[in-house]
Amino acid sequence: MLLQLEGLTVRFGGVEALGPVDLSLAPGASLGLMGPNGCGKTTLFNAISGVARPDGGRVLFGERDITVLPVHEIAKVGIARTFQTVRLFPLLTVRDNVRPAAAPTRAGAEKATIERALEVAGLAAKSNVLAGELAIAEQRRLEIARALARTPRLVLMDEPTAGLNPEETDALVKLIADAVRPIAALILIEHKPDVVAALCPMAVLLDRGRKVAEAPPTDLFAGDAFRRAYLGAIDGSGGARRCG
Amino acid sequence: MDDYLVGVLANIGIISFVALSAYVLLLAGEVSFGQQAFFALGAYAAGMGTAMLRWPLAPALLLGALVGALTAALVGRATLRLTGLYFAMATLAFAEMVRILFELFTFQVEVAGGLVGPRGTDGFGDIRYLFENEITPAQYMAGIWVLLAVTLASFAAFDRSRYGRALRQAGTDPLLAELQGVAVVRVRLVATAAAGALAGLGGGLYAHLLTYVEPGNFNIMLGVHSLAYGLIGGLGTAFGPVLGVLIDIGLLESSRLFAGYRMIVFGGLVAVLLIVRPRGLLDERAVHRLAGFCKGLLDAVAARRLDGSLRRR
Repeated sequence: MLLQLEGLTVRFGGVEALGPVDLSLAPGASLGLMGPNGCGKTTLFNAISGVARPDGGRVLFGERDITVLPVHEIAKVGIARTFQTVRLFPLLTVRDNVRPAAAPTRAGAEKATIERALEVAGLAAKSNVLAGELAIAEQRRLEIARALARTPRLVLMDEPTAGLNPEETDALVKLIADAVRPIAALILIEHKPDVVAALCPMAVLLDRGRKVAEAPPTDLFAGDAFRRAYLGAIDGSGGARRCG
Repeated sequence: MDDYLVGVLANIGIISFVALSAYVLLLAGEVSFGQQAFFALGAYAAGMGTAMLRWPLAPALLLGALVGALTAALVGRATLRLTGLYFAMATLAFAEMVRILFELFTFQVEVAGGLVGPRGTDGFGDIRYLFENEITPAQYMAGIWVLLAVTLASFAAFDRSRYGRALRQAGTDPLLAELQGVAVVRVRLVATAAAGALAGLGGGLYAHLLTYVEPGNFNIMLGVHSLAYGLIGGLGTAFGPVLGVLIDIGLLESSRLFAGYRMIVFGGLVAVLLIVRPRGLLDERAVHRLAGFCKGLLDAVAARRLDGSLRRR
């Protein structure tokens, strides 16, 4: 297994925001992560990438326990991440955003990786533009280029198509399918069912911080758990409710 | 060269070092009101080097920079978890502590039949290395500017390196930088120490130019000015803070255009720029545009030269 979560738990004060969650992901696999707002999807990403300290459980990457590593060390084991609201260095050029922080093992190889990442993301012509001056769809692609340039083994994507129109969404899905999926495992947070179905053979449903279902996306959407999580209980006792 | 002009240029060069010191921390995303402390420590250490230990100037200046770097590293270590307002307050408190400690610090040794060394509030005089070695003010001023030029060239190289990028990344979005693999805490600590070294070097140069320093020279106004220079001149390049010093000392203080109104004009300038150009005149966008323009110009010149040489053939 590439990634294994064992009883991962995150609490904010007394509130259990996540878990305990068990999850495993094979190398190169791709998993959709769904659930209503506040159910713990982003918290799960934060716990894996070290931004939120787990209160219980373990994160194993490869065979290594990375649960308590500092954030920059976790980044270096090969986990890259994109954000729900685009997050980049607006005052640096596109190329400087994409350059990895770690010293290269071979300078030539690093340069080639960067050029390739910019190329596949369609940003080669804009490599010398300040990132803050890009259009939103380009910024989304820049986040992906940045992840690719680090030759990650796992990419965590938090709603990569948020704020994009249908054409831009299609283009981005194609980019993820063609450039990210062949080189790395993927966990994708996404509300759009077509996007999940197009990119992930399996999807997990989170509700109130717990994993309530794991199935191929189309089965998941058809299931009761999905309706319950998003719309509330159908028997009339609960009505629509929100969690977390 | 006119003596007055030499004095102003020497002053601009020296203050540029403490401005660069505050600039490094601004790049790291921190606002320090205390860089005058390292300037003071450098001034006293370098002064003691030549006047009391009878060292040559270069090692004494190096000692000043080293003392600045080491104390800054200690302060940086202690304030690692502080950001924003809390970091600013801690640095200010430290600087005041240093100033008051120097008011209490008396340590004199006998040199050539007289007592030399810091004497509390009476200051530290007889730092006479320049006179004793017949270095003229013009020569000293030239030396200061050579040092400054080397420092600026190093900054330019640093800015293009992965370390320079890491510093800017850590300064603008520490969490994102961390997620890209930048060890933000270490970057900040190194930046703090480097800033201390720059201020310490400036302090050493200052003590030798004036031959006399006293704790009152290193009050909060020096710290506030150092900070303002970067904010006026711009954070996009190391030339920004130097431009800030040029505007303040070169234009406002020395030209007497605004005699008596200098601080009002200076304060107004800072206030206006913070609103319309929060990262200064030479901010990242301006520097990026300028760099693009210069590159275009160079390319055009190169193309023309190539064209000419082809035609000659």
